[in-house]
Order: sequence, then structure tokens, then C-alpha cells
Amino acid sequence: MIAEFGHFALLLALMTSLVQATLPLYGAHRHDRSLMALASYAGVTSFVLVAIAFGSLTYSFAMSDFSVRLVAANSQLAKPFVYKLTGVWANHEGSMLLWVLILVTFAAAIAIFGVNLPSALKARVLAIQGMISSAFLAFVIFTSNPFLRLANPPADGNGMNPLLQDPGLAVHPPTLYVGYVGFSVAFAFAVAALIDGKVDAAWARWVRPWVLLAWCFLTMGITLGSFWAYYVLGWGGWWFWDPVENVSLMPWLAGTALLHSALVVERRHALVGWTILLSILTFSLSLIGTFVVRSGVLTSVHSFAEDPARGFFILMILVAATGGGLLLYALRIPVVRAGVPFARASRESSLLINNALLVVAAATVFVGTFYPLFIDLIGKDKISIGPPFYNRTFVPMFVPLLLLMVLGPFLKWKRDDIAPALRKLVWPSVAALAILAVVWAMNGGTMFLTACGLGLSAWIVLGSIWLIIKRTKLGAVPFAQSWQVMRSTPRAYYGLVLAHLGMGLVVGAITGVTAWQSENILSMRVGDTTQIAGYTIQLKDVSKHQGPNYDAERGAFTISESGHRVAEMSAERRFYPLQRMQTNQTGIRTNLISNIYIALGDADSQGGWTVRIYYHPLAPWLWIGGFVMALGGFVSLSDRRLRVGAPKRSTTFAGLTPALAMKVD
Amino acid sequence: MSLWLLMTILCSATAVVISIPLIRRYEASVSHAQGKEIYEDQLKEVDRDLEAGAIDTNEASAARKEIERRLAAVTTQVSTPVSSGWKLFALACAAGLVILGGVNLYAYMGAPEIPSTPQLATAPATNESNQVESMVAKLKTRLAANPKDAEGWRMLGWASFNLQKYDESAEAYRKAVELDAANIDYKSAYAEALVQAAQGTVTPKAQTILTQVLAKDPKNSRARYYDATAREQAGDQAGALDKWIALLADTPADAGWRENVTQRVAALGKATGRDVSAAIAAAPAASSGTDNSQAAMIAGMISKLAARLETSPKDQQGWAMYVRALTVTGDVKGAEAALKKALEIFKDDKTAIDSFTTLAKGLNIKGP
Repeated sequence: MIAEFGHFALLLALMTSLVQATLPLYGAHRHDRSLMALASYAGVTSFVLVAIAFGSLTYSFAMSDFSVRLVAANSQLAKPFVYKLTGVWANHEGSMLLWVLILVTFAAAIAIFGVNLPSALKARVLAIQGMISSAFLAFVIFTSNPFLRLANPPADGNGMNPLLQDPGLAVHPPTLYVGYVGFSVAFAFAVAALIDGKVDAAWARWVRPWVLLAWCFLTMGITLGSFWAYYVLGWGGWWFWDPVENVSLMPWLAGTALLHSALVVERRHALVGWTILLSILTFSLSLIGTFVVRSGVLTSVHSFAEDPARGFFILMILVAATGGGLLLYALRIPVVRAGVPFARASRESSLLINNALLVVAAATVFVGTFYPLFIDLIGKDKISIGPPFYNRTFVPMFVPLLLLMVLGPFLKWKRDDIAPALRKLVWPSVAALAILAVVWAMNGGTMFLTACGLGLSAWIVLGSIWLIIKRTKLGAVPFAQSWQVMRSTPRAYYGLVLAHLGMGLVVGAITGVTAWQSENILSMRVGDTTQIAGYTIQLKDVSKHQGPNYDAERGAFTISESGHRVAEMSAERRFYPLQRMQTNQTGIRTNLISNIYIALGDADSQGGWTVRIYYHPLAPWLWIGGFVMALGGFVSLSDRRLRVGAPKRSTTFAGLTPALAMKVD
Repeated sequence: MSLWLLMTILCSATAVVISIPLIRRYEASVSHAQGKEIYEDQLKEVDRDLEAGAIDTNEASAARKEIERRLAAVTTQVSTPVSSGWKLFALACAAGLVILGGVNLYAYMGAPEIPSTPQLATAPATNESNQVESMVAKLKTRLAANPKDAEGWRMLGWASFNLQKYDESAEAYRKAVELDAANIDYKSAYAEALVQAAQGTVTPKAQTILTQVLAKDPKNSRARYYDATAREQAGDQAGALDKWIALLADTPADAGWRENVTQRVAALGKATGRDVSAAIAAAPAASSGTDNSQAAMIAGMISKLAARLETSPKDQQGWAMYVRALTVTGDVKGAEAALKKALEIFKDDKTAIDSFTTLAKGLNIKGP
């Protein structure tokens, strides 16, 4: 009964979304308050209805109601309760319902909290959101309905893909989806601005936090996904340039660009047209991400839905959103564009360069992801594009970006000179070069690229910290005064520092892991020992044990260093009889500087087991860096203070372009 | 509360909420501050920041100037509200879409007649196919742990066959045959599953196995049945009829397949123009010989299970299956007795007792 109630609520939500998508647009055109207010009412109602539907589905999973086909196909009685709940979105239908739930939650948030939005803008934004949610609700209802029932329910379900029965999966998709869907808000604002024909302060003030929120969650989602792949797949890799990873990286790159250009719009009211275009493109890339994963066009572990009808439906949504958005952009942007000029050397310029590099980087990933598909489509051949391609295209694109990201924040809005800004960065550059030289020397003049990578990492980390030191003039003035400045510094500023610092950590980790990881794949019998990176690893014992819905073989290992026992580790191989699948529960031991990673493989005929042992120096910083980046975003998000990039008459650092700044006003 | 009542409430509430803005009266014009509010907010923030010392007076005045410049650029939008007739039309559209669209779509897609079967809230469903399915799941778990269990594979084959999963059934029987090649029962059952998996066609593979079975046991009814079918499918009606008649003569009166055989004999008799009335009339007096009916299969399975539990009683799943199987055959007394025994064996294992209790509840038999 609960499932049917949820089904009905979902159908009603499609209806209210259709109302939300249509009538308020006319209301905004006529500036009629009742029709504009209808958008908010319909938006909140859609949210309540979809929440009821999602709640009903969750209840059906929790209660193992196998008369619901989705539950029967994806759940089983002997499954830990928490995975019954996460099982709601560990399948195609449920995850799409979650997608829609997040979408309508955002629309409802705009409806409720957008009190200082001009009502026409608000009505149009909600109408665009209504169109997106109508399209996705129709998609869910007609091609992926989670509430279809079985007249003869089985006594037990088919169970869930064992790879997905993992705490990482409980949070990975929802965070990723909040990221994807968050960009729909930017898209809706962009399209509304195009219809409206103007971009005002309210627009800029509203777009940036949403982009920031989406970006934070996408950053976390990608970080979690990478970590999940690292410990579940058992191959010791953290990024595979797998299509499914790429399609989450593309909106991240475009979203990072959007984040920075939205900053320019908010502060300086410049780059308006570019920001609108980026908003459309970022959301399109999010939709492409959804399309690729949901349609299974590019086969990968994630594509549990391989249904052409579904892929086609999302493709149509994608074409309508991107095509419609770009067409509107072409028609209306001459009306909207109202740029404010800025000099070549200025914060704006540096952000524009950052944008250009990020977008080109995203395009590179796009080509790498879809070129094999294109080749396959025209029937030429099956090719695959791997890390060498990205190393030669993506990396050279990213390095200048990383070099510049330290300089940018030292530049002033509107106009500045490069030389003085560079002069402020003397110490970080010296330190970075020193690190480069030391690493290079320590490796006897080899591994120059590794030394460069670590130097670059140091440059970003130190340069970011240097921002605070310079701002507070720490050391140059009495501490009390620095403390005063530190306290009055907006939180957004700390957000910037953290996010950039996080990126520096990731760069360092990537360099370290790539250069110095070692692996040891061998057959071990109980009692055998082996060496890796100065550690001695002994396979002490292999035992069988029984989980709630799997059988496991657990290898116990002793790690010792120069005769002293350091740690005990265990690695498991699980067999899920219902699905006839095997998973790895890798053993990972970290000291926050490096990881020892052990995966237990199959038993061989000589009474031994295949054991894969990896030593990953600096690897923990990959994910720590990712989370620091996201944390920076959240810190910045918590700062809802005024952002008018008004040029200052008196400058903090004497001697830099004083009076020039006010000329344009 | 009934589903219909809840749905009516939900639908009405939705329609009402959607209608509120269209019924409510708004002041005729849009307030003058539309679009200016945000700048006024910003000016207040500048003052607040100045007071808090976050910015100095120079910065504050620069910011104020910038905001005022933007504020001046705001044009007040003139409102042209729609007529009340239009509003009524919009109301009809919105509410109509919600009510008619929602209800019609549900009429088309909903399945309110199917009862829910939440497995946590109530006992598991007790119809026979469900029993078999859960048995299959258990068997699979057990076989994964001990794949050398030929009898287990046979049980799985039998259960899958009854669930009409013939491919799986054939696969399970194949494993049983592999482990115990001498067993005629396994082989004939394997052949039968293969035939059913091929939608009733006796495949060459099935034929080979049937020939092997008949070489060892020429009286095996099941093998003879499919052997005759194969002959008929090959187009040899006369030869098939001979085989059918011979089988019919050996078929006990109460055998489940007797009617089928009689039908085949009658049909082929007609087709070949042979008089078969004598063969049909001559039925053997009492049921004897090999009986491969399902009941016997279950009985065989149960006794094997009982024997195994006798030798290794610490088998919780085995006991659960045993109790289930007994209930399926209708032997509630026996099931209760077995359950009691099992509880005695596992009296120190709390989780086992719990699971037996749920099992008893689910099977509607007397628990601990």
C-alpha cells in the first residue's frame, strides 16, 4: 500500500512540475503576481510529493517488500539493514528518483528562501527548474519507474551488487548528485537571465553560492569515488581515466571555471556573458555525466542500466537543455551583455585565463572520453584512450593553471601590474625552487619531473599560505595588529586559501604516488614473507569466515620493519553466492604519509594465494587534499557577506596603482 | 486507513495548494522596491561591516558609491496583471491537470490490487513456490560452501525445475551427474531438464543421456517417456507408437504421466491407422515399479536430509530446510518434532534460536 501511495505521489509531482514549468513563465512576462507566486507554491508542492515518493520507496526497501519489483531485484533479506537503505539508490531507478529529489529540494529552497529575489526572476528560475524536473520525472515514470509491482512476489530478492555493498557507496552517489544537480540552479538562473534580458546584482548574488555548493559536493563526490575505487577494486589505483570518472571530472572542471567567473560577476559585474555560457555548459556536462552512466553507452562497472530507451530519453533531455540554452544564448546575449572593462593585468584577467585553461582541460577530457565512442560509431575500429593521452594533453594544460593559481589572488581587481605581484611572491618561489632542487639532488639528478611536481605542489601550498601572511603582514607589524586583520578577514578569503592549498596537496600526492609507488604481486603460502619499501610482510594465516550474505577468505598479515613488528593487517576476498560475485576487502594501513595496501587474490594449485601488495607514498594526501578543497568551498559558502568589488582608494600595499582605480566610475 | 482515502487526501491537498496563489488576492501593483531590495540589503551590510571594523571608511564609501550607482540603474518594472477570467482559466488548467492527470495516469500505471508483502513487518509468504524459492537460495549458499554435495545439486535441480527455471535446473543436475556418474536418477532428471530447457525438444545431448540411462535400466519410465517423445519428434510415428504402448503397459494406474501417455497412444494410433483400443484398455492393476512422482522425490530428499542431520547435527541451515520440507509435504507434526530437536541441539546459540523462532512463525507451526 505504501508503495502505491508513493507511486501516486510521484505521478502528482509530475503534474505539479508541469504547472510550475508553464504558467509562471507567462506570469513573469505579464508581471502578474498570482501567476508568479504559483511557481513557488508548485515548487514546494513538487518537493513534498517527491519526498513522499522517495520515503515510500525507502520504506519498501527497509521492510523488504518484494512485491515491489525494484526491491525484489535489488535487495535481499540477509543483507545488513544499512545496505537495505542505501540499496534505494544503488540501482538505476532509485538513483534517478534521488536525482529528482535533490532537484526539487533545490527548487523548493529557492522558492522558500529567495525572498529578496525579484519576483519575475524567481518565477522564471523556478519555471526552468520545473521544466528540468518535469523532464526527469517523466523519465523516471515512463522508463524507469521504481514503483512497478509484482503480482507473485518472491520470498527473497536477488540482492544487490556486492561491489556496491560498501559504506563508501552510501554517500558517494548522493554527494555526486548534489553536485550535478546543483549546477541545474546555475543553468536555471542563466536561462532566466537570458529570457529577462538582464543580469542584475540579485542574479550574481544568488548564482555564486549555488555554484559553490554544487562544486563542494562534486569535489567531495569525486574524492569519495576515487577512494572507493581505490579500496574496493583491489588494484591499487586511485584514478583510472574511466569514462564514468571522466564525466564527473568534466562538470568539475567547468564548474571550477564557473565558480571563478561567477565571482567576477558578483564582485565586478564583468564576464557576464561568459558566465551565462559556462552555466549552460556546466549543466550540460552534468547531464552528459548522467546520460553516460545511465545509458551505459560507455561500458564500465558503473553502468548498471543498459537500456537504449533510457539513454535515448536522457539524450533528448540533454539536447533540449543544451540546444535550447545555447539557442537562447545566441538570440539574447546581445541584449544582456553589459560588461565592465578591466585591464589586462588584473584579477579579472587572471580569472579569465584560469577559465580558458579549465575549459580547454575539460574539452580535452571530453575528447578523450568520447573519441573512442565516435570511432566505434562510424564503424572504424574499437580503440581505447588511456593515461598516455591524458598525460600528454591534460597535464600540460593544467600545469600553467597551477602556476597561475598562486599569482591570481595577489592581483587586484580592475587593474594591476604583474611585476609587483610577482615580487610579493619571492619567498614562496624561492622555497618551491629549493624543494625542487633538493628532491632532484637527492635522486642523483634523475626524476626531474617528479622534482618539478613536488616543487609545484610546494609553490601552491606555500603561495596560498603566503596570502594570509601578506594580508596580515605577519612578522612585519606587531602580532596584535596581524591578529586583528586576521579576525576581520572575511571567511571567504580563508575559503580561497584552503581550496587552493587542497589543490596543492593533491598535486603533491599525485606526483609522489606516481613516482615512488612500488608493487609486489606474488604467490604466498602461509608463513611466507616478502619485502616492500623496507617493510617485511608475512602471510600469517588464511581463514574462512561467514558474513551475513557472503563467505569470506581472510588473510592475516604481519608487517614488520627491521625486525620490529609494526602492525597486523587483514585482507579479505568475499564471495556472494546469490550473485556469484567476488569482491575484495583490501587491507590498507596508513600513517598519513604513505599507505601499505594488500589485496588477497585467488588460491593457486600449490597451496598458495596470489597476493598483491602496494606501497603508496603520499597517497593519503590525494583524498585529504580533495576534502580540504571541499572544506574551503564550505568555509567560503558560510560567508554570505557583501561582495562589491569596489576599487579601493587607499591600497594595502603602498605604491601600487593608487588613483587609477577610480577612473572608470 | 485505506489506500483510496489517503490518495484522495493527497490529491485534494495538492490541488488546493496549487490553487492558493490563483485564488488569493495580491495588491494590484508590484511593490516599488522590486529589484532594489538587494541593493538596500547591501547598503545595510556596508554599514554593519563598517561598524564591526571589517572595512575602513574609505572602503565603505567606495562600496557605497558602487552600490548606489547600481541602485540608480534599476528600472521599476510595471505590472500588467492578467484578467480575472484568465486567472480562472489558469486555475482550471492547474487544478485540472493535477487532479485529472494524476488520477488518470495512476489508473493507467498503478497496481493497487497487488498486496504488499513486507518481509519484516509480517511473516514471509507461505505459498509453495515461495517455499521452494527460499529453499533454492539456501541450497545455493550451502553448495557454495560445499560444491561436492551431489545430493545437494540434485535438490537444487529439482527445486529449480519446479520453479520452471529449466536452464538452472539442467546446470544443477549436470553437476550432480558429474559428481556421481553412476546414478541413474540424476541422469534421467538431467535429460528431462535439458528437454524442458529446450522447450520440449529432445536435443541430441539429451538423447545421448537417455540412451545411457536406458542401457543401464531399460525400465526407467522417465527415460522411456522422453525416448518415445524423441522418436515422435524425429517423425517415426510407428516406432514411437510401439514405445508408447510398451510404456503404457508398464505404467501404474495412478501415475501422474499416465494420461499423457494414453493421449499419445490414442493420437498416434489415429495417425497411423492402428487399433490401439486394446493397449489403452489394458491397464495394470496396481501401482508398482519405479515411481518418480514429485511426492516421492520430496520424500527421498527428506529422508536423505534426515540421515545427514543424524550424522552431522550441527547444521543449522540443514535443520531449517528439513523443517520447511516437512511442512511442504503437510507433515506439520513431523516438522514440529524436528524443530524441537533442532532447538535442543542449538539451545546455547541465541541467534540460531531466534532464526528458528522466525521460521516457525513463518511456517505457521508451533515454535519454542
